[in-house]
Amino acid sequence: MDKFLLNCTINGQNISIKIDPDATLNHLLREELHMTGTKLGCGSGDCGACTVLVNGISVNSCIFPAFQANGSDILTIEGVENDPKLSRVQKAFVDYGAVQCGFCSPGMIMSVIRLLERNPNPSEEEIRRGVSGNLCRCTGYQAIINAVRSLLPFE
Amino acid sequence: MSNVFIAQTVKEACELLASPNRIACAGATNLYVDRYFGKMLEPDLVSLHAIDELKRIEEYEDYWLIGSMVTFDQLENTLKGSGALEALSKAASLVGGPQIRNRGTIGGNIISASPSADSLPVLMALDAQLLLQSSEGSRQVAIQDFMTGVKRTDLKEGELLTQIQIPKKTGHALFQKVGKRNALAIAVCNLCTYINIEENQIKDIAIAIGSCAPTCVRAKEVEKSLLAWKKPADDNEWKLLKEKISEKLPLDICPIDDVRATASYRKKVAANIIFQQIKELMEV
Amino acid sequence: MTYIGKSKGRLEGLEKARGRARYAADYSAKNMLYVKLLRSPHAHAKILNIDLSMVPDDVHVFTAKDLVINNVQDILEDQPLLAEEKVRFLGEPIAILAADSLKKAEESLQKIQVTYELLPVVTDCAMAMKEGCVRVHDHTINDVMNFTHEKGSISKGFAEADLILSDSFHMPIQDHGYMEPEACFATMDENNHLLLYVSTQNVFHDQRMVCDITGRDPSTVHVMAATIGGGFGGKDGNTAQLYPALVTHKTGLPSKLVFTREESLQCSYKRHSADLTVRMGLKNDGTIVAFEGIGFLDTGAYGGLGPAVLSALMEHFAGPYSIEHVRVEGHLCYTNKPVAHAMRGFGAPQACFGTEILLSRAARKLGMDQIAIRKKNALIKGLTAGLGNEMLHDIDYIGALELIEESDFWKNQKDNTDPYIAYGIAGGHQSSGMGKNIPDDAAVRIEKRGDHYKVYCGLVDLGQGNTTSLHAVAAEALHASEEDVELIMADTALTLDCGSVAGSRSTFIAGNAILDAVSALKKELADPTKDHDSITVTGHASFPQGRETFSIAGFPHALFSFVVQAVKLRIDPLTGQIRLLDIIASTETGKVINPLGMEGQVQGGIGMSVGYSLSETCEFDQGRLKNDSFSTYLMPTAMDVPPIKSLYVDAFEEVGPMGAKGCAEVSTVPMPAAIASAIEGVTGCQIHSMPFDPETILDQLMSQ
Repeated sequence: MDKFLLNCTINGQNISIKIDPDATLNHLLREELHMTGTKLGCGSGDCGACTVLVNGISVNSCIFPAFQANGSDILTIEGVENDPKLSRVQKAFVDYGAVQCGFCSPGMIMSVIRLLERNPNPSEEEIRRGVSGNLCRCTGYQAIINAVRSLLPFE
Repeated sequence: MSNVFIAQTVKEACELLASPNRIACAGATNLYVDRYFGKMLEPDLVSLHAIDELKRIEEYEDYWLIGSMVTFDQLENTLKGSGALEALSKAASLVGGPQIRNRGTIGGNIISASPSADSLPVLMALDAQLLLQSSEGSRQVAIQDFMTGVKRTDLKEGELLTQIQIPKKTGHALFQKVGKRNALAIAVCNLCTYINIEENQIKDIAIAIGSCAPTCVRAKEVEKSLLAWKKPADDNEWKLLKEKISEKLPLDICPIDDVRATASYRKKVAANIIFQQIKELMEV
Repeated sequence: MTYIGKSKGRLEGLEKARGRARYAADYSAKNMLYVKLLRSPHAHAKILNIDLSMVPDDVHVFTAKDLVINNVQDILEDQPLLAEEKVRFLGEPIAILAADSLKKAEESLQKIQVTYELLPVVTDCAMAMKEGCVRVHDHTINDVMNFTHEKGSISKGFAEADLILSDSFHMPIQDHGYMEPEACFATMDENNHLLLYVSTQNVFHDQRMVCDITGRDPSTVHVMAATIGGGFGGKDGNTAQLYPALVTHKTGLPSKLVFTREESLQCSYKRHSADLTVRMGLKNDGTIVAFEGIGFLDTGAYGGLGPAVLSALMEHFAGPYSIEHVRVEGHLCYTNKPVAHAMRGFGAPQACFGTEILLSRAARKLGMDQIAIRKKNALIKGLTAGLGNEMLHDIDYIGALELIEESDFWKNQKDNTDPYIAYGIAGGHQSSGMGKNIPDDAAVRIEKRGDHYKVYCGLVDLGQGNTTSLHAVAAEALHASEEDVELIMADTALTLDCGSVAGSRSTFIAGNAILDAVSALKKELADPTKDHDSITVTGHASFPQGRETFSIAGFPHALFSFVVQAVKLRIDPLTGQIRLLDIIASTETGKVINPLGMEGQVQGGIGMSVGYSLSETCEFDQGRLKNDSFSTYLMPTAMDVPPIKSLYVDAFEEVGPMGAKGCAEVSTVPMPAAIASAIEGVTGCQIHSMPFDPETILDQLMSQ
């Protein structure tokens, strides 16, 4: 097996790293780059805790082949706090009680960023659909909905 | 551990796939789940993610051409308001969650050949044709003939599914999925009904049902028995139509009990939904 | 009040939202060993031989022989950490492997050859209770613990009744489904002390267990809670912490164990499944005159906290009602399944289900309003509950019922014209504290340095927000600014033992200990001879106990919180599926310290019970979990849980910190019965089991 040379940007930083060809993006982030903000909740794409954005699109990093990220822009939770527009989501999550144990929060926040990027004024139903790939066991989702709604232009 | 090859064109992909022990990799939403569970670790991967020509949806006078790397998200958003094909938009919108719809592709959905694949009932009901290419040449096959069993298709060694051709039809189609959750659900039953009505009579009908047999299947007996059926005039006539569906459907499907639902439940739900869809389509 | 009663987001919220908070799996170190467990592939078998000879030399392997004491500390002390002679559930650990890569550790699992002699698998309570059934534990029958109690005379009570209802119910095994799988990182610190970062509910219990298995002195075992990704009872005991502790103790190298989701689902603690038979006698005016409840709890292969769950089932069985004649009977049964242990609600959801369903049926039969029948029988202070135990503290269950009664949600029922839409309601209660004759204390230290206060509290914040609440209590009592109060939690080296984060006790017990420390501090400050710039004080608290004593420790409890929850739902006539449209909850839990935090507990508990009701069940086939992934064990998504409105009664508990009682668990109690009642209202069918089966509902609709 040959190592695969992966070139991409992660949170704006150029990365060039040799990886196992069958590594997942989650493995790359957590185990190789020690960026542990992105979580691993199941490994099979069923919970969304590992969500990151690849070229602006939300994906489950646990089932994303790392080599397919070659040439991509990757945004992880670590890249959110320095962006004043995106970090509003983090603050709203805290202020509205959407963060409890916090394990789903990084992935959930990435999904919300994607949702609002695409649809800046979603209805409640659209918000629920937008985060429906992210399981949360603590909040019953209500506080998450409230946090997202607080960010909408006409709320 | 296996190797990966990244193809830039269909031609290159076909050439790469010509060597043994290689499989195509699309959005990996099935493949990497299999790999997580220790399966499919051996074959080398020919990744299609860089092939832009497979990511297009094109509309022609008589048909649509959908590239095999088109994602569910693309299907959902591009095919809204596209006549009968709107049912495919609906089906795509009900797959998994946003992250899966962003990555999962129509080609992957077909090749994975799960009996519960959400795009299949629509593709079957609308008589989709598949274009398969290889370094040796290409062939076209009807989707009905392509699906051969649970996770089995007629894909030959070295072949790549490149496009799905769907004829334009004058009638309307509806899709419904019954899952155990409202998102992130695998279908207990999914179903597409296509009908064309002329002069108050069913002129053309196609019903395809997923999760009720080893593959998604056409409900041929139900279709036959309803062809030329006149639009019911009262409750009693609707009842007759419903009874006809319930009578014929067991000849078309053979569901099993599994962790998601019982066979008997799938039968009842399929019959109810077919009736409801026909009713809705006749009342358009 | 400056801080109490004010909504506040989590103190640590931003760290979590930024991905900076460190969970146990986020720790790693150079030369770290990856730990894997060899688990039994059989649910019940004798171990004849364990052959380690094929394991590569560079892989560490440990078995029961390497343990100083092979025991998991629990109520019955019946569980070995590593199976030696017999395995009693599929997935039971037999050996620990540690290697320098996860892959090598995983591959080496295949190199261990274990020879088994298979035994018949005890699959459920009914089988376990049969005479002559194979024993899960040789020294005892499978009916490992039972309890009966009669208050008054039920034969007299039922004879007086105008209406008698009875039915049987089955409730499934539920998984905690915390998003963070069990994990622990172990290392040696510079003093050669064993240092653990654990996803746990009790660092002091972990320390004791580590000392047992390693023989180390407690002073050389330092346990810290990492950030915890949810516990819900499931991390209150032996999870992933002891195995890496042993590896690091033996090798001196750092090590880490993180369960896979499949391991977590197949092998970790569960909620007890329950088989219930409930009988209720009422007068025509709605007065409940007699109640009988018989329950069987499946505790799996080991007792765990099962005995205490059994006692909670007994204590809550008759509901938050004053009933003259009550008989309860309960059995805790061993089976060959993973250990059922603590899970949010701790027997109270099981107790509530059948009782509230019967009460709703009774209201329909008697033509009474659902709220009126509950008000008529409601417990109030001074009355006795189901075991004859006197309610010594404030109760406002009636207030909780009235909040729903007065809500638009409830009033709008009458405008509904859709025959497939229905409303359901149920009430419930939940004790707080560990219960009678179980140590239930806490000690908190406060260090004052100038105007800055450090509060050292041994409790873990599992994610439910006790840190934020306790911070408010401390700042309020100290009249300090929030910035001047710092909380240090769950560290065996820095904090004092406060017991487990369990039994909805943590805010109450640590809150009271903080208040006690603050009054000690004030005494010091009143003494002009003392240095006011540098003071250290310790405060203590004990949970109030009930007056009565029963044959099993752990009940009765003295304090209870009360809830009423109502749901609006629609049944799909084509599929029988249930769509929840709206939920309202009203809670009486004394003074609410942080309304935002409490709302989160209410909504989260309801979300969990929505899953319990609609889709969550661990389905076993001969001890093997059939649905061992998140694509088959189905927890609700944001599209399954409806909007939840949370109301609370303005109450005050005299003995609570700032008037508060425990609120974390009670929210899980009544929702299944409320949903069942609504389904029965639409379809006329009778619900007997959870999760509610669309096919049963559809059959009922189609037969109409």
